[in-house]
Amino acid sequence: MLLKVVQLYKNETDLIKKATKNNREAQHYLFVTYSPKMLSICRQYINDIHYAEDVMISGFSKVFTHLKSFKFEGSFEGWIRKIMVRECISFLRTRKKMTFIEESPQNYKEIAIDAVASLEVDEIQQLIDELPEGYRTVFVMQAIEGYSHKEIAEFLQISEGTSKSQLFKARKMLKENFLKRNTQRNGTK
Amino acid sequence: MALNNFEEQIKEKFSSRMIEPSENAWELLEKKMVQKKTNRFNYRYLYGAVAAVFIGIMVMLNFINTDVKNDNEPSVVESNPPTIEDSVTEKYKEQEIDFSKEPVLTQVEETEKEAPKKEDVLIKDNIIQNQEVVEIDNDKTLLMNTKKETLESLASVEQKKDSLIDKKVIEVLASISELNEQNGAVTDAEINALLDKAQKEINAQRILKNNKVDATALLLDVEGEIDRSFRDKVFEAIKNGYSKVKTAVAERNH
Repeated sequence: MLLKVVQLYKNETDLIKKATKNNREAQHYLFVTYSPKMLSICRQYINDIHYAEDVMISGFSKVFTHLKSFKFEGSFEGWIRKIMVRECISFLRTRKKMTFIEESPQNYKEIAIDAVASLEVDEIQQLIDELPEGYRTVFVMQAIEGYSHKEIAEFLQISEGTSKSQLFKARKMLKENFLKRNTQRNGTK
Repeated sequence: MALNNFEEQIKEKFSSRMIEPSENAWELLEKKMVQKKTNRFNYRYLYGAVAAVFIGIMVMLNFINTDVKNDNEPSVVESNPPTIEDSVTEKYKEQEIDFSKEPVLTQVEETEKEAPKKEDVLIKDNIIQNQEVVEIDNDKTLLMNTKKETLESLASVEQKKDSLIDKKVIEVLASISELNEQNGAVTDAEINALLDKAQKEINAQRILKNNKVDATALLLDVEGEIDRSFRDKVFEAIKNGYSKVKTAVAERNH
């Protein structure tokens, strides 16, 4: 088992090195390996699957162009993921859909939405899609991608307080939308 | 606790989610990468073309500048053509420079001549010094010879020039006196015609005698300008009176 893992790692390193030298086969293999995962990430940020795919393709293009700057210090997947997130944010910025209202830090009460977790992924995605761009971006980055408020603030060029408030509002809206959906489905108030 | 649980559950669900891209996704990506490469390639060509154009402009400007300089240069040369006097003065200047060096040479010669008399001088030094003395002596004799030759040649040139001009002056004056005797008076037009004729003859003889094409003589011949020295001499002779001319004519006739 250990041997297999070592061999796999070695293979990926060789693949990346080959892809760095513009080896199309290696690049294609890396694309096939990571594109489904990356498209899922792009879809978290972007409502339209076609736009999400365009952004993912654009992200992969950057991955292969800047492959030389990958120093094999962290995981390759994490490196690609960061590029994809940046690409998504850049896309949302160009479409001017993402707006943030700067707010001073407050003690936001954390909203428990355990019930949401019981839903299927597609259902959760639908709920997330209903959120405004700003709320959704911060929620995905913090709750799903695991970025800290400091990192989010740097990424989105906003203050940490704004990031926190956006997350609070996103959670609140997510819960409200979930309850609304449940009410409609069950036919009860 | 509940919140953490919720986030972990969502994370798990999304991390396991895979969305297969469309079939032509890779082709689109390939196209994009090729386009990027060609764009870079085109930029390289563009930069190269811009650099080539810039260099071309610089070369053209350089050519234009040199042409302007060349255009200017002949006009300067034509306005001040080198005359015999200039060449003579230049030669004299060279001679003067050489003469100024002469005392230094004699001093060296004197010291060198004294050197062999001293007993303590090394043999090597003597050999070198003797060689130098011989070289310096040779140089000096060469210098003196060239000086003599140039002076002689210059004197002969001056003599030839003067004799030719004097001859023509006498001829012109004789013809003037003849005209004066015949008509009682000589007009300016007649004098000018005689001068022009004499000048042309002088120039023609100069060219023939030298066996070389004298640029100055040709130029003067073409332009029909009268040599200042010749003209001055004629007028000087007229000033001095006909007595001298008459004797000259008489001498020639005899």
